[in-house]
Amino acid sequence: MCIEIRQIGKFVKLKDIVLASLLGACGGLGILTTNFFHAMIPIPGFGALFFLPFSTACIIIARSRIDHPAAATITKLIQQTVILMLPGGPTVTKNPIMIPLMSLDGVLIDLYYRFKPSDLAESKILSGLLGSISGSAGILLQTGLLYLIIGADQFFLAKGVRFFLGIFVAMHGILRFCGGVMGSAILKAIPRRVV
Amino acid sequence: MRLNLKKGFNHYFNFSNCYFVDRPVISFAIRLFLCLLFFMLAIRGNNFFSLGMSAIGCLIFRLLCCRHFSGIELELKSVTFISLAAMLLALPTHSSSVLEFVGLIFLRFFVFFSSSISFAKSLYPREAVCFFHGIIPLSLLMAVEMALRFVPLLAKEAIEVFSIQKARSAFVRGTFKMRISAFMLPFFVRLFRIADRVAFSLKSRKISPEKNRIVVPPEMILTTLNLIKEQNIMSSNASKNQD
Repeated sequence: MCIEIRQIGKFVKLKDIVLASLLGACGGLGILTTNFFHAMIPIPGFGALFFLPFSTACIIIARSRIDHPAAATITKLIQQTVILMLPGGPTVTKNPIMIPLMSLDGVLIDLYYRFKPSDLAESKILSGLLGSISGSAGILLQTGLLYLIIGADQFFLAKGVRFFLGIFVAMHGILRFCGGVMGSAILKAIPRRVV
Repeated sequence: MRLNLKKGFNHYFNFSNCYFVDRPVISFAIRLFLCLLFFMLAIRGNNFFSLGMSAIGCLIFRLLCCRHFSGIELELKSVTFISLAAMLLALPTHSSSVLEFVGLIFLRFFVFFSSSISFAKSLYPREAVCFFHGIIPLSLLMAVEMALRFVPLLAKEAIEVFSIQKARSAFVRGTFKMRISAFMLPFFVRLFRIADRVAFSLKSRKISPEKNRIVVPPEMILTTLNLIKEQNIMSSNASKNQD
């Protein structure tokens, strides 16, 4: 166990760091498309129609391709850091305190993979569910933050908030499921090169 | 933002906001601390006085970070939208104190949004990397730094793939899945190729993520950038005078 914990602190290969950083940058770069999609569909939340599946696909690819116990967490952390620096996306992502909070889905994917390692390229549904459930858990944590900001009384009295939050979480879940499936399809289409 | 198709797809991938030009008055550590402080105040403040003082503090913070108030109207717009939505939801439950409720929500979200955006707007990546050097593991720091450096290249690659596939009319024919994979697959193939090349070049230069590296102070880079900017302005003025 001690050896495993020590392994999390460092990367084994330089190639792994490079791939994690590039996939993180790529997922974070997707935030720029939110401006474009928001201009096309000016309804709150529809800006992330491309960004959410794309970023989830990047995390799934990172989890499958990088041989490191915390690959998805690190990729997600890098994604959030890149999002903080780039324009676009919701204001919540521009706060540095939200970076660890938003990396929860990466942690959950890593935890699942730690206890039940499976070939994500072969199982599209599993990848989709992994992306969807972990993403929804992250969103629920953000909802908890909203509960803290608004206050307990208002949060429970204004019952309508629950309805909209439900739609919000469901939309995220569906888009992240698509992202997981997309990631799995990409992994299957581009086989790992073994030299 | 209104969609203007005449401007083209590339117009919406504008990087001009990413490059930090003006120097903030306060250092990165103080800005980070103040951002976290305002976050706590937004959560803990429960009356008009404390939240109002926090909002004034946020405006001063904005001035210290960005030296101007541009963009604040967008924040006010989004905060007003959220407050009005909350009011509509709260009306059936507690209509007696609804104005007080909306006022508090407005101030809370303003403090939270404004401090976050002020921090993000004044954030210079190298400054952040220099600050976290020695605090977080070197390998993670290297990964973050590398990611930030590769953002423009990846954007260029994405636009290139998009243009090539558009020229082949890949987004016009076929099913939705085919159209998506027409962009995704070539892009990820390119990404893996770049990763291989970068890893090889770093390895050949004996760069190790575990070893300490020299970090150039951000002040030095900013001074150089400002000098280049001034020289560019001077040369453009000189060319205008010649014309």
